Amino acid sequence: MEILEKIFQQLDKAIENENDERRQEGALGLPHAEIKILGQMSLISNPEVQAKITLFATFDVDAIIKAPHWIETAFKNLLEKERFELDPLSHEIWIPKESTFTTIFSSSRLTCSRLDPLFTLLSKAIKAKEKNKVLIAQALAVYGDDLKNLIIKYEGDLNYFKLKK
Amino acid sequence: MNKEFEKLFKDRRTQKVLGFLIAKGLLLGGNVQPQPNVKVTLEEALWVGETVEPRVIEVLPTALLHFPKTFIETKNMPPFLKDIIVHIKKHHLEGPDYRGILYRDMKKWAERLLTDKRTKPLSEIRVNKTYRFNTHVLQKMHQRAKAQKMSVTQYLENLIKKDIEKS
Repeated sequence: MEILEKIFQQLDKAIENENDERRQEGALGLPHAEIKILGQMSLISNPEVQAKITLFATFDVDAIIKAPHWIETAFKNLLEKERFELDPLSHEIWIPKESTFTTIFSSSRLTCSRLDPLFTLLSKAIKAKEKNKVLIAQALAVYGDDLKNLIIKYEGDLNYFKLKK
Repeated sequence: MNKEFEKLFKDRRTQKVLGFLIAKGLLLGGNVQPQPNVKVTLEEALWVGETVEPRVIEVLPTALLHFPKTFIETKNMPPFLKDIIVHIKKHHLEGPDYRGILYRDMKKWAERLLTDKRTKPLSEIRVNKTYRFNTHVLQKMHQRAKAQKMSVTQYLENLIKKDIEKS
């Protein structure tokens, strides 16, 4: 989803402007920030996943943000302009320990990445199976044993994702 | 796409319900034609929510509250949905979750400004209430509101905001 990239670019520009102002006033610039996109948004913003799986989402954005308050607020405001909403309980999302992330935006001020699909799907299969039954059933057909083995590893219920004919 | 999923997604009900919710800015994604002017039976919406995409259930209370004329045959609304809608209408902070979908999420969407901009978020809808004031207080209220170039409602809301800020 190009809109997320646009938001990250705008955020980076906003940080740059804020840093310029702070330096002119003799203050320190904002430290480097890190945003990790999780949940459904990490899937729907990924063109490779979109090509393989039919996805729908609400306007919720789950993200882990390691940044000062100024940057977090600016990010929230930019999301709201595009009708998205940052979920304040994003930190409750389970991220499997072997998870990997792919960087989607990077500058000297800001790094943004998204959780790779296999781990987003695993997290959903283990922690939110009811809400994601059809999604995981589709994903199992696409990601095969890679996803299946991870679900088994974390004692998920593979049978739950078999759709009735 | 696997044939099983293809059948589900191409189903007339799926296309209609998702098309409507996407057109109204309640959901995004998928290769679905937006359909802002359809009529949807509650049974169709529930079928799509239960069988294809549970996020439909997450935004269904909002859709029912904001677009009641779109939904037909709503008489036999399941108790769980009725209960959730009552809680949202009463602005309850806590309410019943449903099959992994949190009440707080269902409530959240009802309180957002929708894309058509004609639909007010539930939290901004004004409700008529009657209170009985004594004449002296009523007179003072009007005088103070006029002096501050506010309506009486604005004046009272302002007082309440200040009180909340203090506490």
